[in-house]
Amino acid sequence: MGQLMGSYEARNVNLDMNDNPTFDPHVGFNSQRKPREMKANLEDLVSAKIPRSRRDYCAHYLLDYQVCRYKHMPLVYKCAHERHDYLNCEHADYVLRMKEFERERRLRVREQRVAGAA
Amino acid sequence: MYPSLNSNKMFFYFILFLSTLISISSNSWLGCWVGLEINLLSFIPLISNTNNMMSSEASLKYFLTQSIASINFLFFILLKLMWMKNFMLNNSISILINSSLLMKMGSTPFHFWFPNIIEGLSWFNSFILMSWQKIAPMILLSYYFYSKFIIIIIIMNSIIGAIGGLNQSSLRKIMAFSSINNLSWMLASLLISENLWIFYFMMYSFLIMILCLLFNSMNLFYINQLFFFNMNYGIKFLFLINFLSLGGLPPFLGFYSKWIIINFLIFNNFPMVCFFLIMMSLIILFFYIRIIYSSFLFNNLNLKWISIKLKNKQLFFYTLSSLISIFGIIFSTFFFM
Amino acid sequence: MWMSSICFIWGVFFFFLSLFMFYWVIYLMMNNIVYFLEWEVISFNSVKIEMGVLFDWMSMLFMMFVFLISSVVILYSKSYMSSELNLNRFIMLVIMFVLSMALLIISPNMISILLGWDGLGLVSYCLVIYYQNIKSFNAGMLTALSNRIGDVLILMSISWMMNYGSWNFYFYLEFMKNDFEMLVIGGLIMAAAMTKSAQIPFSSWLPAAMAAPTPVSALVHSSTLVTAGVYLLIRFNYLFIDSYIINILLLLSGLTMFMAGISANYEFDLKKIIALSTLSQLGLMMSILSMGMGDLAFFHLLTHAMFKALLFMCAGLIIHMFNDIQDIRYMGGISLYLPLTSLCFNIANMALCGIPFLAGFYSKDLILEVVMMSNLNLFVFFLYFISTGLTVFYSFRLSMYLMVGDYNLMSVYNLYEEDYVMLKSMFILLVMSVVSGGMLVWMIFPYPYMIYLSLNMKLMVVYVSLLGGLMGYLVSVMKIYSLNKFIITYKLSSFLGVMWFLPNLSTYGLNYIFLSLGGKMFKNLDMGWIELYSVRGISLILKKNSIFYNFFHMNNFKIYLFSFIMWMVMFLFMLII
Repeated sequence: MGQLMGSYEARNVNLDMNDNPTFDPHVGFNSQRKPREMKANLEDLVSAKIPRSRRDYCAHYLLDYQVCRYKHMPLVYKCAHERHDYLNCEHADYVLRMKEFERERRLRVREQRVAGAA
Repeated sequence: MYPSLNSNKMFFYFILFLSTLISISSNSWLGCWVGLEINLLSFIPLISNTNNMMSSEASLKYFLTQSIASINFLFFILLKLMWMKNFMLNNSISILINSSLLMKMGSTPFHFWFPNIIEGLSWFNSFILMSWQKIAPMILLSYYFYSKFIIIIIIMNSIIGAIGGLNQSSLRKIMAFSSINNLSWMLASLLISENLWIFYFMMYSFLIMILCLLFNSMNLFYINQLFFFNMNYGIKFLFLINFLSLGGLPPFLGFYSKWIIINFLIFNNFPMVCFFLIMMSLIILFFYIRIIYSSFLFNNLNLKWISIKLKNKQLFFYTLSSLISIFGIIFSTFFFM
Repeated sequence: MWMSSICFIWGVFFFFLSLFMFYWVIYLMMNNIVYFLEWEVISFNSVKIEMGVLFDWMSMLFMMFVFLISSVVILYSKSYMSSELNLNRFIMLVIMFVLSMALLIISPNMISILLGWDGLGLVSYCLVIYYQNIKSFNAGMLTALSNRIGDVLILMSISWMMNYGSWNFYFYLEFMKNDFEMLVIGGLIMAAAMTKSAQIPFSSWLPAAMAAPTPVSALVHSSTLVTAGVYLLIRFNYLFIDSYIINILLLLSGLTMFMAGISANYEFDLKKIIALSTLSQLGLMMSILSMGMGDLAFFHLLTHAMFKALLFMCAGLIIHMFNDIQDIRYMGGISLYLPLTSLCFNIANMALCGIPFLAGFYSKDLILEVVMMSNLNLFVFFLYFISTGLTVFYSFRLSMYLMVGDYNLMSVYNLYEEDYVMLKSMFILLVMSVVSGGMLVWMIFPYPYMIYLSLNMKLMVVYVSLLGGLMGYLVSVMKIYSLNKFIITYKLSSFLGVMWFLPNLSTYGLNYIFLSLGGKMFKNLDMGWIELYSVRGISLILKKNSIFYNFFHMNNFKIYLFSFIMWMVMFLFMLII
């Protein structure tokens, strides 16, 4: 719900929440940007039967959490540290995606402004 | 009671038996006719009983119709010999020969004598009239068969047997009309093969035998004689089983024979015949059930001087036959398959 | 001697069974094992009929909770139904109910689900009509027939599942999502779950079923019967994740949540308020399920079972103490005179509202946070949050009527709380209601949800709860002059107070038209035309024809002979021409 309210303005530039970035990743940046890479192996994920929706860029923390969980089950509270790591990574990923969205929106607004001035 | 071991009558029974065999196993049409004539001649003394005017009138009528039929039969055979010299199967002549044999059997449209006569016969004689007398004409019919004509006869037979029997109260007339109906089933089986006819005929005559002998030993001639107050329920149960079996209700024995005929009729593409047979069989079953139902429910006749009982030997025989009638289908699968 | 009573035996038996299930939950979760036992009854052409039993941690956990609540309820009913002559019959019905529920939980194929489902519907009917009066009869009819609709829909889905060769939907859900048949089956199952869990078109039976005895309400209408629909949808969850049809369920369950919350504020019957609160929470469960988060729905199902059963049992004790009166306007002063009961009641109410760190907090708060993180529209968002506020609203109102104030029934009174049998049962659930939330939230979420919200959105829950509490306080302080203010909102109140006229839909709406149509058909067809054409008509035709035919037989003999000749001549002519 919050995304809907926050992305309301983005409709002026035809940008929807689920769209991918369309501009070149290096536009506006001075330094080089690294592309993101998956740190978990696909076969590890498959053998741990992680659902497809959870196989994102933080999946290695998730795998550590699963390992710790099954080691300490049923006293799962002992895994709070691994859980905290995973949730932190997810949070960072969320913030990064938010920033990418905002960047995309600003670039489009700029493009419109440039096109309007010309 | 059972037919007495009267030596006079035994002579005539023997000749009756022999005549049918002559008629079946001859290899010329003349021999067939001879057999039919001897059949007629030997049956007349069996049914004529000078004590009773009904039975002597019945024997006279029987003589008249059967002799007309035999004369017709001889005439048409000779006509056929003259025209075709035993070679071809022509339609007009075969219709005439078939219809004279139908008159012999008591089939529609020549059936008016049949209920009339049977009213004057004792139960054993009527049993012979309904079962044994049909063997020779049926087999002769199968020699010179014209299907299209016989299909009309089958349908007419079934309708007449069903509708005519609805309004009767005399048990002998009911059995006569049911015999006409079963004649249509037998003719339908002749459409397919003779083996099938033998099968159906054996089942039918078994069921008729039980019923006729049961009626004979209880001396019942009319439906209202079934409403006796002190008649044992076991005996009524025997009636129930045998009537339902005769009507063709599963899982009794009578159903089995009808089922096989329906099966083969449909295989050989006679669905219309099948339809009529089944529908009229329903109506026949209706008035069987009417008889049984009322015999179980009405108990208003109270006899003071006669007690209705069956002796143990008879009861054993009837019960055994009814048992066959119930489980006959299962037994038959051992024998006929 | 009391040890040999049927309540004690079965209560203790179910309790130990529940502990046994708890062991299995831990074992299955630790080793990540699922046991699937199958017995093939017959395999014919392309259809395999088999009886299967599925033991995975979810079914074991649910069974543990069901057996725990049922053991507590049976022990409770030893004192509640002590004046009942046929207590054995009652306990037998409760046991049959529990067994049907257990059958439904452990079954992976539609036929055994149907057995459990039909068993649930039938036994709950027998339990609702247990007090044999007119009100119970009407309530039972409404319950049974609403449940029957669901049965019919499940039967239809069984016939659609014959396409797949066996009825073990457990295997087909993730693979066959794009089939048309699976879409139909999903739609039918969704509608069936909606009838059982009393969502919007079918929700009139749940408040009416409060005519049942209170232990029955505690067991059946709080945790087991109504959650059977939710459980079925949780099992079918993989089918609905990306489908379009689940939006209908989202809308209807959200509206159910909202409607039940509002209607609970207009009710003055204690058990009906608790029933409508159950309805509201069921709507919450269904709506979070329809957003794809089945594990959250399951979690809320379990914790809700605990505190709702506790609420019903407290209500039962209170009703006993108030001389079998269920109207809350007569009540007051419970916190002074029934301290332990009011302890249980308050904790259960607070758990329902979502007060932090009780059982309801973990499930409800997590649900609301996940809702805020996901992609919704404004209407559904408002439904969720306004319903949360309404929950606090009616809970506070109920507490105000019951606890605060004076006893309104009689002027000379003595309330006492010496019914230790009932209290002991309530304490077990009290402990579970406090502890189970925290216990479960660690165990059953292998993949944690990340929540990242701004301050105001996070505090929205608190704002709504506080607002609801304030409204609850204000509404329950009813003075004599506030009566003439009611006329202002008369039309709106008369719509909102009768559950948006849903009971009329289920009773009057269906009654008159169909019954009158059936009556007309009976008079016109069964006793009319069909009589003429098939029964009497045919027999009259046959009779007339037979009478006509018999004239031919009453003739002279030579007429017959002549007719024979005529027939033969006719046959010949037929041939020649």
